[in-house]
Amino acid sequence: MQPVGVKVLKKEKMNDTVYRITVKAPRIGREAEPGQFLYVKCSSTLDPFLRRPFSINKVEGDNVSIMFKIIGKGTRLLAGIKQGDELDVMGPLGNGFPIEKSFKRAVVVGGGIGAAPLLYLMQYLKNLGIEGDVIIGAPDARSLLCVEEFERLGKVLCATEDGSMGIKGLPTRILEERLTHIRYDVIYTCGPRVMMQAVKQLGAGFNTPVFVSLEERMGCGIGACLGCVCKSEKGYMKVCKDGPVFNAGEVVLE
Amino acid sequence: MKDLRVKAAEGLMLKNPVMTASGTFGFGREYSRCFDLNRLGAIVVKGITPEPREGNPPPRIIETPAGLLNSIGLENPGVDGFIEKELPFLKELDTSIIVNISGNTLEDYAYLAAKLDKAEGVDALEVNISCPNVKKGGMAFGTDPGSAYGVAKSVREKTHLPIIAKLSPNVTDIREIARAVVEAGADGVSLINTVLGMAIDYRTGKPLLKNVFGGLSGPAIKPIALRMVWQVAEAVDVPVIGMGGITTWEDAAEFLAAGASAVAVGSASFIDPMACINILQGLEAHWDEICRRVKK
Repeated sequence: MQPVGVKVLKKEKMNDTVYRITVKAPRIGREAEPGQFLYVKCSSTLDPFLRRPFSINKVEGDNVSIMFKIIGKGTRLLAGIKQGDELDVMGPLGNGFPIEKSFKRAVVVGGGIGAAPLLYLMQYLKNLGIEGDVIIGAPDARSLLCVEEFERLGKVLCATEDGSMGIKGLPTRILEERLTHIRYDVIYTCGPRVMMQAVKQLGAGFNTPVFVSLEERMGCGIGACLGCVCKSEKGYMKVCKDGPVFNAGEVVLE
Repeated sequence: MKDLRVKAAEGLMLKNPVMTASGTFGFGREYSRCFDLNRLGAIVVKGITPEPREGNPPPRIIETPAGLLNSIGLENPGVDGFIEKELPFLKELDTSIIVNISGNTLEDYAYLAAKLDKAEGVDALEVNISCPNVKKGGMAFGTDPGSAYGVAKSVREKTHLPIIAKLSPNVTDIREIARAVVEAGADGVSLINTVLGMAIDYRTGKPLLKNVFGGLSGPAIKPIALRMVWQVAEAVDVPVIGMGGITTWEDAAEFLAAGASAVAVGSASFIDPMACINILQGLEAHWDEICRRVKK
């Protein structure tokens, strides 16, 4: 596992603060499983120092996309990258969403930028012949990500806090309503911890397995520095190496 | 092939001067997927305590300008877990294995020294008297010459292995601590451990690390580390291992010029797992000129 330089093919502005960068990376495209991440150097200087983890948003042949929200110095610099530039990446790293052949129907629940890994997951599920429903939530319609792309892959239900698209409220309200009518084999979720905690509880209530994708500040990205831990039943687990996808039952989300 | 052998401590010859800094390299397994570990001068493993430790609650890492604060809190499998699960892998390697040990009491250090003295595959002990992230022991031992002497002495009495005292920069005069551990029988010193610091979120007014304080590492601390290596190399007669923000071979050459016999690479491995190897290759290519400039 060594860093590689990959060429930026495309940069898309998804909304005011979210960007998507597509790079040409044939090996990563072949190896990547949904839920895995790329560990990206946002600057060629020593500041910001650490890489940033971004889950894989899309894979189309040799082309691999990451999607990110501008939060701080690193992501702001990354948003300034141009088509044709080289990006220094490591990956794919971590464990993706477990998918079993016996699954017939899945539902993915994304909050805000948490929708990022779920698009690639939906692509993957579709290729495996697993039906997937999509529930995504955001503060407003402009912040809902990849809606049209999701619509090509499955049924999409939206929730916005201001009601500008879909229902007014939280995506978990849609999930609860769906779970009372439909038997899903699995629930995959990524987003704010409070949302994932609510999804975990709903999954438990409806006896449906839930897999969560966690985010944490990382050091090495490969499991050596013990910087990015989350609490679990078995003590601390490393988000970068044991995750970032976990069985919701084994991690403490609050 | 150039001869890059160095004496990292009395009784400890390394095949080259590039070591890993404790706590940044785990027990080597993860990095064995990136490069041939046998190329390293030495592997210094994550700090080991008598009993397993869970470590501190997250967030444990916060990036700061040109560096990072960490407060891992010595999460480790304990000395028995280390000997049983990690040492068998390490002892097969053709590189020196240095075990970093940490305790709450003098008895802890003595116990670890005695236990590791008998363990096959350990080439030296690095005595951690400088961890800023544990409540008891740790840095408290390394900020007082008398306590530092006591720890080094208790380890010395229990082992024939070369011992290296890892020094804290969070002191007024690091030379006093260095002299104390050498007097107690340390075969070498390594410095610097991380610089105690903190980060606050202005929006909440609260510390960003769950443990409030953490240890600063990375290029941000390099000037402090260089100054202290220079001072200590003048103050003691044992070899000095220099570390603190080394990311390039040029950085490493600066530490050698300041008086270090060997160097350790830490946080740089986080951004580039090949950092140690890149630095080694750079030193190899420039070794003759570096040796000419080394302070004698």
